[in-house]
Amino acid sequence: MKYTILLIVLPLLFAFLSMIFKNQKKPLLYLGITVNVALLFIISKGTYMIGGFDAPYGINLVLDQYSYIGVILINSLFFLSILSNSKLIGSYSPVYLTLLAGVNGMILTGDLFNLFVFIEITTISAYILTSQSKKYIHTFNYLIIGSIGSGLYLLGVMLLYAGFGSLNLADIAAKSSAATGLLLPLLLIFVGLSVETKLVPFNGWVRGIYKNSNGLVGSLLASIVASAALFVMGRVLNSLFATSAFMSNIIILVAVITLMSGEFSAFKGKSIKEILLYSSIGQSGLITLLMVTGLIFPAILLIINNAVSKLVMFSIADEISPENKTYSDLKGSFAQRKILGLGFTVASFSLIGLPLFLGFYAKINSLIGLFDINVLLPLVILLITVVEGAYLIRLNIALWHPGEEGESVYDVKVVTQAESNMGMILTVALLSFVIIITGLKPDLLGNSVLSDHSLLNTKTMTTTSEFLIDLKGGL
Amino acid sequence: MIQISAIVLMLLGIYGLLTTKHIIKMIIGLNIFEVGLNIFIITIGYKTGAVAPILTSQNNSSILNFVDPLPQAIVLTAIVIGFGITAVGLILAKKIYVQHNTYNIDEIGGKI
Amino acid sequence: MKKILALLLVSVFAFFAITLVQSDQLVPKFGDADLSSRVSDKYISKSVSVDNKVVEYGETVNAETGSANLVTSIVVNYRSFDTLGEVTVLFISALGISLIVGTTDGMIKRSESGFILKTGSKVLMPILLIVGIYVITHGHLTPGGGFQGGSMIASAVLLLLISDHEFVPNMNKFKVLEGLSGSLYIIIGLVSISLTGYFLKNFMPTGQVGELMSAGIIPIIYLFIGLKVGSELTGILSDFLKKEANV
Repeated sequence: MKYTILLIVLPLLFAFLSMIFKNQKKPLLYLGITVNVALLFIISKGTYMIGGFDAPYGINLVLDQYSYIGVILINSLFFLSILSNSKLIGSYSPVYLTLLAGVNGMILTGDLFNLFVFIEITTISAYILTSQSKKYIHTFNYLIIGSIGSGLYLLGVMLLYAGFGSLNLADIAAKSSAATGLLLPLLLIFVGLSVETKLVPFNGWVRGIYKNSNGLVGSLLASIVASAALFVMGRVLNSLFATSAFMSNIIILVAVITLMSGEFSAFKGKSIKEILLYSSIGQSGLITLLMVTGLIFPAILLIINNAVSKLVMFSIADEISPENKTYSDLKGSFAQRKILGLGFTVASFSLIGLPLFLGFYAKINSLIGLFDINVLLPLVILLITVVEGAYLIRLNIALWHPGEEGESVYDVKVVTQAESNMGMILTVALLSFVIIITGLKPDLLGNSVLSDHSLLNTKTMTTTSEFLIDLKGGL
Repeated sequence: MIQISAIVLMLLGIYGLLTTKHIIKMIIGLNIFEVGLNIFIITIGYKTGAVAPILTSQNNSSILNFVDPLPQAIVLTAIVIGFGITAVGLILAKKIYVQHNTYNIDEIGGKI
Repeated sequence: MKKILALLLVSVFAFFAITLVQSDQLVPKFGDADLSSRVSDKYISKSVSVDNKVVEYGETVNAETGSANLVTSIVVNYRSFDTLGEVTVLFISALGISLIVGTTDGMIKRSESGFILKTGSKVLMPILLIVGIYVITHGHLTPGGGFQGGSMIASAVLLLLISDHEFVPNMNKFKVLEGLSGSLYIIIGLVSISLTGYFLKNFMPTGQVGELMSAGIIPIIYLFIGLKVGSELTGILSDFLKKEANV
């Protein structure tokens, strides 16, 4: 029970220690990620009071079913990502450790101001990591938009404090169910969180950042930081916004616009990373739509699907073309590197939602759930799936088929370099295996992690109110 | 009255940030926004006729009329975080100047 | 076009914000903060985990946090996890600035300073240092604390950098000091897990409210924070003065 705090604190300790032991920065990073994965086996669910003070007088960490999945997802994916791209770390190891602590803190915390501090830790680490590309104007853009978003979020939180007298999320959710005049604080909090979850019109920074990141930073931002931001958005939407129908309708509209604009821009994309970043924006819109309508279980499945696929695809995209060539210039790259190509194809099929892969289970659940809300929404999802299928299959064909004589990028030097990145090959193989296995036997996810029903009925979540995320069952 | 002027300060900062083309002026606009935000947060805790929340030999008991200490603790954290962001922004501005020799975002382009 | 859009957005926001603040719906009117409905009520009477007793300056012994400065008791005791996050944000900023600056070629050329600056800074610097250390160590008795005192120490170094055009601070020792203070802050927290089971719980006796040696671990933590902030800000200042290496 008391090991939950160590998930956040131990990476920070290793980051501070790497300023003393300057030559051991990389070993400390490996030690940090291994210790976090090892801690996943001994943490147990419940709330943890920091400093021994009850919520809402102290800060508490909430480890219920929802955040348990999130913590397992981001820690294991972080471990795999660092291992598969270990030659891109450079001298930035302490910043990766603080990023790990920041995303863990974002998912685990139950206090709104603590969430602000951890969002700042995560985004400042992201600014530093994305400045490696030497294109500083994009990082500056991200910094300005991110800081305005966080400032507006803090204003919204303090307006809620002025009204209800507490900073604890569960406490405010209990007190605000009968209150009025909450439009401005809720709008401000939504704006602040939507910068990080890439919703329209606050996602002007995404294109510059994701397109110019190297394999490690791109995959971390697209899979791990994006998943943490979506988990946080889901928790806040379902506790604070549950009573305001007007705000929920606005959020549904914004999410649908994001979904459609993201996927249609991906259709027109020219390089692999461009297609992937617009697909990430579209997936964020879809997941936000599911979260705001209360369909938590399909949303979690989609987050897992998106995180695993984007990790594989961003790493491979940087491996075969670090300088962002258009995909028609890369014809036949996969014909020589079969394992990477197979992993990429499995990930793209899972994103589309073809049967036998995890994406199919996720999308079917979301379609069934959305039918109860509004008949138009499943139609939008089906249309978007067709568009996704079009551009992803076109991309895969271009990368596999060697084309006419003289168009392939077959190069002896490239082939011998490819075989030496064992870390990436192992990671890609493992994650593709996970996607296919959970697609074939979806009750694996259901029985082992997601349906610990005995804990959904406990009333020990906080001392002031119940704080349960109701997981609606799937197929 | 002071709450309205804090809100006006925040909005001046945002307006300046949105309409300027000079990178250093954007950072200044961000700072003005943060100053207005911090002032507004402090005014949430004010009580007329109350004293500062420190137990001294004069205000020596805890049943006296104190202002709210929690917004002050929050503003302390917010000031430090704003300082960290401003420092990173300024070093990025310096690097942009070294690369492109101008501070005007129209001339830099930002095309990807 | 962009100006008109920005003006529109800002005025809509202004309308909403000012009507919310002026009405009595959510935010109470200015000066009418009702502390008994807020969490600060228990912070002031130091009765979060113990019974409600009146705390007197100079007389109460072993109160909950033992700090006379109520804001300090919130920052370092009731919500010390936020302070850990804040210290981390400064750490990442200082580290990130040195990583962005990259390889350098010494410092930029500074011009020699005038007579008033040179002699004035010789008088001011020791005063700044002493006031900074005073503010750090008396964080639980007077307004101030680690962040404020640390910035004063860094401004003493800034004064030295401005007035002496040949001064080059040796950053290696400062970085080790920074890493050491940060690690000690977290190690104190881990020690309190092993002693009491909760992270950063005050495990030392808190003494008499108002004495210098009181408030348990609060002055110790503030000392670490002050040293850390001072060395980080000095690092940031000297990184801004570095000259670009000619590639």
